[in-house]
Amino acid sequence: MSIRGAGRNFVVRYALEQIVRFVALMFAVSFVVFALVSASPIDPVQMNVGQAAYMTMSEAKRAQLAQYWGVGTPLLERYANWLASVLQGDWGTSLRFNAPVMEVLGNRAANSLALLGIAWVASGVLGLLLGVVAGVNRDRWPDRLVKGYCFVLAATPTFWLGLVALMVFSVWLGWFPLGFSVPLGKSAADVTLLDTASHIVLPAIVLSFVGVANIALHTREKLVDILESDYVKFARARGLSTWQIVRRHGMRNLLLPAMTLQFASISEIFGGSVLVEQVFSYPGLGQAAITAGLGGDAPLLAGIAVVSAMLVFGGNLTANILYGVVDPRIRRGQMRERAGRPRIAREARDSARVEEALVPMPAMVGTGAGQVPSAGALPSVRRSVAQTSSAVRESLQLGTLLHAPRRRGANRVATFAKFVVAAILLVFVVIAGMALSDMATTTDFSLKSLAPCLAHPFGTDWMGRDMLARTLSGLSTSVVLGLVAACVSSVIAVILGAAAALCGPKVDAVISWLIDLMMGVPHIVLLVLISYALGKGFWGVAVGVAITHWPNLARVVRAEILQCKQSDFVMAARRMGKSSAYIAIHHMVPFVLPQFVVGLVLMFPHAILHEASITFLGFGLPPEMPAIGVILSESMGYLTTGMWWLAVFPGIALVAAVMLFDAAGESLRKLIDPHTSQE
Amino acid sequence: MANVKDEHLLAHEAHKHGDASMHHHHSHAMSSHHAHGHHLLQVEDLCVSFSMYDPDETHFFRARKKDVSVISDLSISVHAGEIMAIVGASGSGKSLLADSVLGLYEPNAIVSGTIWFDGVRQDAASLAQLRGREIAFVPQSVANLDPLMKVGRQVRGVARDAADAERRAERQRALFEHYGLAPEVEDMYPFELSGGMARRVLLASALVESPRLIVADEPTPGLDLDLAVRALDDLRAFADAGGGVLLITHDIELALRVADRIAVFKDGTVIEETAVESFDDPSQLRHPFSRELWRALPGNGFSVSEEAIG
Repeated sequence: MSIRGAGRNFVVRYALEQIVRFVALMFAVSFVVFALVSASPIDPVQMNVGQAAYMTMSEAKRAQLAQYWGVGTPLLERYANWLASVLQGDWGTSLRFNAPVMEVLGNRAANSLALLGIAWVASGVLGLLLGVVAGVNRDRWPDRLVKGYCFVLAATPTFWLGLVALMVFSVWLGWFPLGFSVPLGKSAADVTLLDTASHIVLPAIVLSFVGVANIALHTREKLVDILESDYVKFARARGLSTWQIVRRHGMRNLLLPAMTLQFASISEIFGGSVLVEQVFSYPGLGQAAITAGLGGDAPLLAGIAVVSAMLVFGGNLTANILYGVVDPRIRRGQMRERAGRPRIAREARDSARVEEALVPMPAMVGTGAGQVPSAGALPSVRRSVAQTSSAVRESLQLGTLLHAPRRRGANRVATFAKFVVAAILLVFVVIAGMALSDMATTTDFSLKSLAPCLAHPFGTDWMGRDMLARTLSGLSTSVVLGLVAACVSSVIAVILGAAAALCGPKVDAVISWLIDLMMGVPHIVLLVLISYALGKGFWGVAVGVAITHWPNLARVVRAEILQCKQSDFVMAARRMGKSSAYIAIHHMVPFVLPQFVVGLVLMFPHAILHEASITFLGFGLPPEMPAIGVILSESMGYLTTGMWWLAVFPGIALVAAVMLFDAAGESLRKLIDPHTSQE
Repeated sequence: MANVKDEHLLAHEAHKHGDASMHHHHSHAMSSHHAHGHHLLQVEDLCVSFSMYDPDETHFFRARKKDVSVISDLSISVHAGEIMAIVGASGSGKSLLADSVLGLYEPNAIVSGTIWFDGVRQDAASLAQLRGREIAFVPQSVANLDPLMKVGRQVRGVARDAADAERRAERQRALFEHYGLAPEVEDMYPFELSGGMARRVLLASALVESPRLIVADEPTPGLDLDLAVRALDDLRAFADAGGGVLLITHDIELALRVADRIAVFKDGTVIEETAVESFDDPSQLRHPFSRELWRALPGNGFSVSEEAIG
């Protein structure tokens, strides 16, 4: 078989494979939407017409409405009807907007795509630049600055950032309009480009800010790896300066993973856009999803879920193709693979995949966060930077000292202390929140709307409730809920990840497909659906977060076990006649455990942030509960009244709690990971 | 053997070199010579240590940072026209010597000592100026090439301007031809190279700048002795043309076959620096460990004698 012919065959096969995957995914996503909407105990008729109207309604009218909203129609019948009409090009009628789904989607998608596109490009470019600056200046101040920025940002809920931006730039400074995509009361014909631009700027900035952290941290880690590689070492030995190396070898090797990541992050940016659109009342797909979700509008929800899944699929596919086209090891290797030199290409592709799977979660920050001098270090180590450099200067004059060490990173004891302090603070928050839960719900109208003062450091709300007590109580709820959900999620991840790696190719295929499905729909959309299916409330959020957060960790566990399984040391153990159980306990568990523990700890902040987000959107904890999401959602109503403390303090407290989890996870990682525990 | 006589030979050069007599703590080979009256490279009292957690402390938190010495009081010289082989066990820190000569230091390293290149005393900054230009490095394997850059571009390196780029391209093509690399190798990616091709590509990268000293770190991994000797023909030719080669290897047999002089590396320092001919007769070797090494060679009995023990 000629090499070229083999290549063409491969392309055809790849295309067919992708089409099959795409169709299967679309079916699965739309079916899941209908299944979840049908499973919900919430009566969409009551929900949409309101309690009072429902009571006074005639029986016949009720039955008519029930039919309209699809109540009582069996799931399969309902889905089959929908599917039949979709295949004829009719996406049904949105029940909430009372318009064809295609029309609603079309209007909204244009708004959303503009917002998403700007944010996606801006965050990608900015993230790459910051990541390069940080990686080159590893452990020096620019790195610390960038890492600190990403660290804080990764811990900041998107909607809160939007709230604060609205408060500062729209309410106080009046630089930007207060939400919506066009000026209110202006007819569509009169809307100028400037109007549109001024409405999109602030939400786009907020959305890009959120995306930056992820790409910047990954770029930094990757660049640090590259700068420690053998080929960069050789380039240095050939006399290239660091910046020459970054230009010549860094960018070349960085760009591909960065672009892959950026394409793969479409899901996350879409999720962010749902929240941002809600905060800015921006009429996009995300806002429509919330409206549809709150009202049980299954056709519109299905439409939005399918569109978002298409976006995500398109992103991932582009990333994969990009790898194949740009990376010569795959591009040229593929041909060779067909022509009988299989190993190299497959290895390159596998390593690319493993790398992709091992991509740490966005909240994960690189090594060496703090730099606390160790108490018992040797004098030579304790020397300050100034002393060291003067010593170098002196010695260079004498001509004996060629190089003096540069200290970097924190030491073990300090890292461990950081972990303990973070853990203690979190436990304190939980206990304080529980103790204050009564105080959090005590209303006292004589103390209403007080600005922060000594008696009420966080101020009080319009019902005279103490905001500090409410914040702590809300945080405590969030932390407990996040812990429970993340633990359940990690158990699912281990079971499925291990099963995929160990139980043969069929199980692997099924689980991998399940992971693809879970990752194929933006988290927030999925959370909205699951929470709606479970009738909202505590269990809705808890189960939703638990079900949506395992895929990432499952992929890591699967990749680690596979790597371990194929490693020389396991092969050797097998040949030495060790039993599978022995290998599992003595080789696999120690190999996978560090990654797992760290993955688990780093899942907490995600779980907490998602709980807050979903509650903020109205799908999570009930309004009676003093959850952070509820508090922030309520503060939206007081945005223009100058009661800034309602939004600012609870938000900062949430960011701080999430950062504590991050700090705990990060220091744990540093101690467990043999690569960094020597630093 | 081409012992290129330099017009500026100093007096001591004329009568002392060429026999195996001692001079500057070392004996010379036939081809060694002191161009302009000094060594091409001279390293004196080099010490390299690392500030790290005490690896002997088993308790994780009780471990203190301490300076772990890897190279201590190492002295070595390389003459023009010779291959100087540093022989020592794998993992004993020989490669750090290469890094030190190239002015490449790990962040937590403490390096002291004096290095002269061509009679001029160097510091870290001037070594950085020399590396890649006067002192070239030949690394071990294909992993030292950027996997995403075509081989030709990598060999050519970074040009200062258009004229320089043209010169480099010509030089690269000439080197490829000289080393029997087909023109299409230029457009290959590193993963497409065979082991032998990779070795020649790496050497070509070193030679693009016309260096005077080549530092080669285990350039023939995994080759058997005869193949390795042949693979090092190119380094031999470079030395014969008047360059200096510092060859770092763990293989004493290989060193004896290709090098002019040998430095025995043990416990972080050079215990003996001598001409290869000294290994013909153990009485020429001064250090007991060198004599032990001699006895361990095939054909010398593979034995450990009482003298070595005593």
